[in-house]
Amino acid sequence: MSAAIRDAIRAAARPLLAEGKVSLIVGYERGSNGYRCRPSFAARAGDIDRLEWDSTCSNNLAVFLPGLFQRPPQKKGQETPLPRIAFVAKACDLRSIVALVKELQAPRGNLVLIGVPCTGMVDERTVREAVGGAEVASFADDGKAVVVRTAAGAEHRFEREAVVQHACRCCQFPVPQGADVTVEGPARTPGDNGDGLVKDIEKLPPAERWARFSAEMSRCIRCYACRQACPTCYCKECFAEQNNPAWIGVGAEQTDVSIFHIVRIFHQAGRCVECDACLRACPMGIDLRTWTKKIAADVRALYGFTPDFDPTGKPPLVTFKEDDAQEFITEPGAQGHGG
Amino acid sequence: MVLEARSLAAFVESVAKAAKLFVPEADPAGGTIFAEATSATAIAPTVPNTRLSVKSVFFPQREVLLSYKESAIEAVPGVDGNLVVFGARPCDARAMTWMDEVFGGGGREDPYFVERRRAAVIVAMGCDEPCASCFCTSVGGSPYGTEGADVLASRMGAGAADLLLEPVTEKGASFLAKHAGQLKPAAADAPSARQAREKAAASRMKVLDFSGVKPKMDAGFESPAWDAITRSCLGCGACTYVCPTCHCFDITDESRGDRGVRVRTWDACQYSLFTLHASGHNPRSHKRARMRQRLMHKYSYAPETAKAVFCSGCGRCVRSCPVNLDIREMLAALEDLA
Repeated sequence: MSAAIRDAIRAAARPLLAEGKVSLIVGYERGSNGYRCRPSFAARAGDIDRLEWDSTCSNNLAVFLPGLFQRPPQKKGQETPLPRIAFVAKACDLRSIVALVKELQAPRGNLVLIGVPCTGMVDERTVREAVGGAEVASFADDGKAVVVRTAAGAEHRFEREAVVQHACRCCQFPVPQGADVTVEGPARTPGDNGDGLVKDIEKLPPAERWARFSAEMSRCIRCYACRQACPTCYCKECFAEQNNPAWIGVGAEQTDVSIFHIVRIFHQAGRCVECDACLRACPMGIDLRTWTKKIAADVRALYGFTPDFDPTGKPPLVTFKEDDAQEFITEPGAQGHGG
Repeated sequence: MVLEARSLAAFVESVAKAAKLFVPEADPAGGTIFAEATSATAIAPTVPNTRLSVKSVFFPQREVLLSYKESAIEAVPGVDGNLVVFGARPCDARAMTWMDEVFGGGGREDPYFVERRRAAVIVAMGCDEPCASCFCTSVGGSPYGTEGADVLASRMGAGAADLLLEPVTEKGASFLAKHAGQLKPAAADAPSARQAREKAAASRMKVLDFSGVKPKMDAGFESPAWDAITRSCLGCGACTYVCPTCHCFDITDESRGDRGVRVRTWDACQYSLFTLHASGHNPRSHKRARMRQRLMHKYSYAPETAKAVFCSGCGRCVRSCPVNLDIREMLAALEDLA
């Protein structure tokens, strides 16, 4: 199935480049370790044959969008035109792209979005731990089972659902909407959004919640992989690196990393699509998901907003209504919000 | 000497009583990390290698250099130099020799680092399971290499829990003598059996030839290849922080009122702020220039200044990169430059 989707992606991409409709296609290519695909950039006809699709295309490609549309300061009347770029997009990539379009990071008209329905991506870490570092000779996914063979001949067979990423298992939006081309393919049944994780921490008294958060973040080495892998973390200057004033210390002390993560997570309110790019990127394996999910759940509960496929309208962080919820400020701790 | 599995706990206790002992410990999120051992610590097998290298023991991510009041130094914290690292892989031990060169060579001496290293003992663990992401044999190392190690530990047979401990340095020999109570003498043929396993481990690794990369990099400083190989780079610092030889740091004053501490923290050439001037000019304003710096520092500048490639092939950067940028592929692409 993934070969048919791969061919359909290439078929959609080829004329876009050939006819000059875009100058670049951002998609996926085979990685170096046998069990994952990675981001790929196709600018020439020959590059199209590198484009791949399988259940290891986890990276959220929207992360490249702000950089690709960044221009140096422009002189009025002499602006260099913005590029036209195509993205291969799962529904999560697409929702991040929509969030970025809303935040004026790229005009929708300059994007060609190749939507790909998704059956869920395989969790790289699970596979990596199973093979224990051995060289992988083949990776196969028939929709029911994932089979990884090592070069030494060992076979690791997984029931597919058991190795699909948590973010995908609870994904509510497996089918992209509003793409310019949508490739035909199977999609998984929408999940429950993983609200159980959020309920679990909402049940905890604030002190215990804080203890759990602190224990998790104490392992942070502050490499900023989470921030850099996140499509909606694109500030040119992150507060964590400002030094005049310095909001936080530069090291990996508990207070400093805690504040870094709290502020980063809060800035994701109404923008995070719960794709788990941060979690996958973390070299220390820190649970960053639970806390962003909590913010997303709060925005849904308090403001009735979920970052979806609709590029019109304003995101909640830049709107104000007189009847906006404010109990989480005036009565912290009520209904599990704030606290 | 032989450390039998049943004596391991007693050995750990004995060492931990006499020194600050660091061993690979299972990490709650999977994998292993170096942690200070107590008598109850279980030493975890490092497959793949520990998340962070041994460098973090000797060059901590945050270190207070001094405390001050107004413009006077109040105190300079002492450094605990009585350290033992047990179970570092040979790639990590080897990398420490270059860290020694950076922080203690050429007439410069970083007192904090040098003091921590002076009495420290590194027991390297021969590596029977090199990963697909490892490439120590392509950069002059070996899965059983002893450079930088004071003692070489190795399994007494495939999957065996008993360890053969062989001294490499005088420091290592006196360490073994000190804890001889927990050790048994080794059979005369033990080293030759170790050599056979060493050969077997090395034979499982592909050897890549990076010898041609330096002249190509030097000549191709402005090559568009740098753009091509760094296109997907996200600009995080994961590769540098997990690297056993990346050693860049920042020094900051953390003040409160008229008092404060001067701290040294890890920093990385992959961050755009790393080279940002006060004027606003940034000589490495693009990720192509930042990755070029990282690769050239290891494969071009270090061979000139320290007569060594500053890469031990531990593969951590390969395993940790969120977009699977593989240093071996980047180097191969640079070698292919016309």
